[in-house]
Amino acid sequence: MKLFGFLDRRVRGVRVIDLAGAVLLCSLVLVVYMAKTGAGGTASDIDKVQQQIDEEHTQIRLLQAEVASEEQPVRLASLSGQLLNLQPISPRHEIPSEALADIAHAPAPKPDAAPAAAPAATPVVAPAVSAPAGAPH
Amino acid sequence: MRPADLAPYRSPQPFRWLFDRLWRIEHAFERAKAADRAEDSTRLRMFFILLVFCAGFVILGAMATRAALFSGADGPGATGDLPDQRADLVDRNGELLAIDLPHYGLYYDPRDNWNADEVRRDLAAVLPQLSAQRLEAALKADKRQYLIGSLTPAQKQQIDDLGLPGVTFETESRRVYPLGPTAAHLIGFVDKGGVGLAGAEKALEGPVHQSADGKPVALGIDLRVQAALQDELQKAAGTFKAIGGVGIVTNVRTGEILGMASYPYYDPNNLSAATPDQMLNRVAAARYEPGSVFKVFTVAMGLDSGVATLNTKFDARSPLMLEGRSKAIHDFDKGDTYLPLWEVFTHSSNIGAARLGILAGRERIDHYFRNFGLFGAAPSELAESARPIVPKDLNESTIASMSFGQAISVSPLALATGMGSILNGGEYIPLTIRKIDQPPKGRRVISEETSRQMLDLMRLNAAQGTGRSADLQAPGYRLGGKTGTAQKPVGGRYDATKKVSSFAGVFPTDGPIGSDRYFVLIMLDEPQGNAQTGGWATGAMVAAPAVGKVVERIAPYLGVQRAPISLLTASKTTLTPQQLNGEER
Repeated sequence: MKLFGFLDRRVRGVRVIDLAGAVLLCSLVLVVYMAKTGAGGTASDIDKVQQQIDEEHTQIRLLQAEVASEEQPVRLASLSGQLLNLQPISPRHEIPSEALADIAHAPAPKPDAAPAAAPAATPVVAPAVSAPAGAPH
Repeated sequence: MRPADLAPYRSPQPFRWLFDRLWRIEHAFERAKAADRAEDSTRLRMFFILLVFCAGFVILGAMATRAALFSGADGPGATGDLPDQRADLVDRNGELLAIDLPHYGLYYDPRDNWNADEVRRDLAAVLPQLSAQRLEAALKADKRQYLIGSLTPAQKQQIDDLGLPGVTFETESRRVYPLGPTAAHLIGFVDKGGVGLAGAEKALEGPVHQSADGKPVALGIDLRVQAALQDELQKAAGTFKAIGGVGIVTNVRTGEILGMASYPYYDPNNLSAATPDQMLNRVAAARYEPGSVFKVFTVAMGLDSGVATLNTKFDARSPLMLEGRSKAIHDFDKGDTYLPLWEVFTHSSNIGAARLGILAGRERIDHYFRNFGLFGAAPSELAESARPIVPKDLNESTIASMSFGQAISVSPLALATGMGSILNGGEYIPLTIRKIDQPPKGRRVISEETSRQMLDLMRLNAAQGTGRSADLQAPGYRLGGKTGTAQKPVGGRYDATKKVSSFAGVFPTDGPIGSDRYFVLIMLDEPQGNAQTGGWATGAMVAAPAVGKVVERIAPYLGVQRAPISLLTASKTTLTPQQLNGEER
């Protein structure tokens, strides 16, 4: 009963228990307010960062789409032909690296020699199939 | 007896404890009353109520703190994932094909703005595509109205800068195809609600939604292969004024589709400008009488069934007249001779192929052609895959016609699937639009030996037969193939002026039978001959060179090495008819 006795004491006409209750209530309000304010600020910061991340994510996806559009093979092939005059090389100019030594030792063609037979890569329809007499299927 | 004793038998310990405490409190009130100390009873009750309130406040405080600290990240300003978002589509190398991008829907609430003229003037200036009728209706409405959708972020910013009251936005997702017409028929498109309507978008609806966590769905196509195929098909179709065209590249070992093109093309980003003819996927949804490319199936059937060998001779001296036919079967080349089977193939003899079909008989034809998948829709993820048109009755006349590619209409997709089974060692593997790690186990339809013979035969045809114009475009890649020129049936009769010209190629034809090999088909619908072709529009003239050019362009991407070409002499074939017949090998 000592505890209840202490709580029943009055300070300037107000019971200790009432004062303790008021202090506790004020403390609770203060703590909740501070926690809420602090949490609100943090949440706002997180929200801003999240929004920034989302915006940058959207920007990245937009850029990815633009890059895909700009770098598509059809466009690059067209531009390289138009602007740089680039063309695929003739198959006759392709050689595996291990065959380079053979070329170095091969005799140089005579200047007055007849040109070599037309390479198979010549991009025209061969006469053998251009004769329409017996047109193949 | 206390309430705890009345609690259900084996009730949990916490409940027993709680009942016990409640009983003690209630009993304390009764004891205080019995002792005539009513003030103690009242005090105790107040203390108890105080405890309950304190507990309530503590719980509320804890929940408020939790709500303040751990929620709000998805607040109104956040732009998280959009609802019903679809996964990106990429090619086999990770190149982007389709992507969901945030767009904005524009709304207007007339209750928030009294200056309708300003809204009318400013919005019309920034958004010329906005329907004036819809804007007027919104200005006169009494609630928030939708004005227009699919606005880009730049357009949204422009409208934001106007500072018009009552104008608001809602984020919406829109499917964007960065490559435009490239692979449009294979990729397909979605409706405004984000539901796939065609192509891979429809076929892979499930995986595209299930993978929406950010992992893209990989298709089997190679963008570089697709670009080359589409470019050459367009050039060929343009040069020969074809009304339509088909191109497909597949890996016959795995069944993956590496490229698929249907001419004319369309832009899936602008569907309103596309015609139904442009949007038709001719590879899967159209059916053609394939013509002489079908002889690949007939000859494979003949060899595998043992009905004929490469040296079996067929009488091609005169046109073949059969009972029930109004017209005899002719060859383009004047015959006057007996042709061995390999020459029936390389000369593309209709008479020889028809005789082989008749010799094989109805049961064998039915068995083999069914196994090649020619009597049903190609098994594919693509919903567009069309069923073939086959003769109701397999009599001698229809068998003869089918043997050289008439009287049956199949989709190019079914044709490519069947060809793959002949060229991959003899296993029927359905084609897939997806990238796969392990090829599925196929269904055996012909022996490996027959498959090898067919590869050699197609190589011989490209080197010395009707397919030379293809080989000349792709020297060193050991290209094989078969030409086809089919007259189109118009009004129940074949129209000699309207053709479907095609070339079915395969490369490389050498190497182990189970190695990677690529099938390339180009088909042109109603091509017109020109001066370069002497007016002819046959498969050899219009389609074979296009296939050769495609092979020349895509082989490096596919890792196919060119055989060394002599610097001083022209390329020579590596196979002679004698070798093919086993006389020199």
